[in-house]
Amino acid sequence: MFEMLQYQFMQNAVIAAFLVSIACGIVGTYVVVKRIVALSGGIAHTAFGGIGLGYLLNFDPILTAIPWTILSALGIGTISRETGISEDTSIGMFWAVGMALGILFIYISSGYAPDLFSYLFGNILTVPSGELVLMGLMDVAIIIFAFFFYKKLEAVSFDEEFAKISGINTRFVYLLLLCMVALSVVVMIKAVGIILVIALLALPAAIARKYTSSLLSMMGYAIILSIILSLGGLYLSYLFDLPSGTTIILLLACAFLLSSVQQKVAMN
Amino acid sequence: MEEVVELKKVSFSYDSLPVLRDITLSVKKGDLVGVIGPNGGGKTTLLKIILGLLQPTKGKVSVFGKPPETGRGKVGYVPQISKFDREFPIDVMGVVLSGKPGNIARPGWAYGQEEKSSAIEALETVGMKEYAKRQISKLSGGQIQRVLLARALMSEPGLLLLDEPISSLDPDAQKSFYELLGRLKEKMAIMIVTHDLTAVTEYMDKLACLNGNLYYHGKTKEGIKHLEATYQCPIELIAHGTPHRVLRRHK
Ligand SMILES: Nc1ncnc2c1ncn2[C@@H]1O[C@H](COP(=O)(O)OP(=O)(O)O)[C@@H](O)[C@H]1O
Ligand SMILES: [Mg+2]
Repeated sequence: MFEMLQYQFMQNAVIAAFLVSIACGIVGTYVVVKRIVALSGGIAHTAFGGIGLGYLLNFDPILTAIPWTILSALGIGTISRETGISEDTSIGMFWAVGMALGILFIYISSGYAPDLFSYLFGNILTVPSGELVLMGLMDVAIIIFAFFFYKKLEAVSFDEEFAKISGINTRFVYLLLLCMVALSVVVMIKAVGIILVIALLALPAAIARKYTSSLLSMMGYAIILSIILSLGGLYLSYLFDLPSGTTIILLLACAFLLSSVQQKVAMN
Repeated sequence: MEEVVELKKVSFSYDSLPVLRDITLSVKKGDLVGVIGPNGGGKTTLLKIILGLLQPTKGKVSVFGKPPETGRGKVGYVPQISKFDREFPIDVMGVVLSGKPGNIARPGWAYGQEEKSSAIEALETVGMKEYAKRQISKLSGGQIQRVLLARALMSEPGLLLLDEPISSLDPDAQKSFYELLGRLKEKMAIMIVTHDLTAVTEYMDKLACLNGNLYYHGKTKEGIKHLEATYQCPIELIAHGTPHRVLRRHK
């Protein structure tokens, strides 16, 4: 097992797994308790437009995906809250339009997108060192937001109306949360890909939730679970020569099923 | 006496569905007002208007002489527990601590010693001190109700709004809950939405009967005879003692 670690790309993959786990553990916790899994799935898919824009402008697609996804998150959040358009309609709209724009941008930019597949389905084995730094920076931003707004995010997640009465600017906190989702999506794209991001965001936190009584410990458990499962998935994909993103997601789903069965058994 | 809540000719509709029509109501310090009416009668909507969560389509609302958005700083709200996610990973202390705006303004997850002792004090008031560390999913409905009341008390409110707080309590717990409210009303005004008519006659000073229109607002004793109009079903059916939930309009 350890001989695989002598390769640079493997070392990068392991570091990427840690960085991805920090993002999905922290943000995923709020996504699960605030029940915005579908909304976050929508935000994740809009990111594809940002990737396409990168190809069009001849820029690192991850760099263009950051502001693009944040703006999309603010867009979904604002439209579903402030207009008469319902939340699931605006999710569907952003989801499809984001994907469509991505394809359009790539088409205009000559249509040649060599690693398009890895943005869609992820390839944790091809994360360059420079990207790791970027992922690390986004993690730092997520940690800072999560620390400074911990109580407000908790209050808004638990009882938004009460939080509003208490004088919290709930609209701001909610949009901040969606921006954190956007950041975490971009952190995760390289590892599992746009289409699979939502599983990594939701599943470790959903498993962790069954065993905790505070958001902080839920985040901790979710991070640890995600590290174990993504490294496990990485190892299995190396062993059997499978696509890494897919293997990680399937392993996550198995873990989630097992924990659900274990909970059911424990209750009886 | 100090005017706590004043509604003048307030109407409200959700989109095109009219829910409240021309409600005029005043609540003063020391009042314990029971708000009764059938399900869908607009009771929760009325509380949300007082809290400034909903804007009336017509009419004027003032809370402590100010518009609700500013006056609600002195209002404690105990929502209907049916809306809560009981599996939310938070313990009793966490819920109560979040009740004080100053507590949640600071960064990080830790709370100060002073904040914790005021939360313990609030829990003691509602008789839930021993449960401080308990996860909310491991509480009964009545216990959660008390925890939510403790949360509302954290901001030292001058007005307490309770939305169906007793439907999940057994008779003993109901009695002690009303006694607790009786002690609290020395310091504040209380509006309580309830279906429990025994309690209304026994503990409330004033009654508001709501079914779209406000059918009666005033002293409890005289108000009882207006119940029939509110619920639109025969009075014997709704006033025979035990709590009675009226499901839908009869004609
Ligand atoms: N958010 C909402 N959107 C649309 N209609 C609503 C909403 N909330 C409540 N209503 C409707 O308004 C009416 C009054 O509701 P509510 O104030 O909750 O009644 P109560 O608390 O007396 O049972 C009901 O007919 C209900 O269906
Ligand atoms: Mg109600």
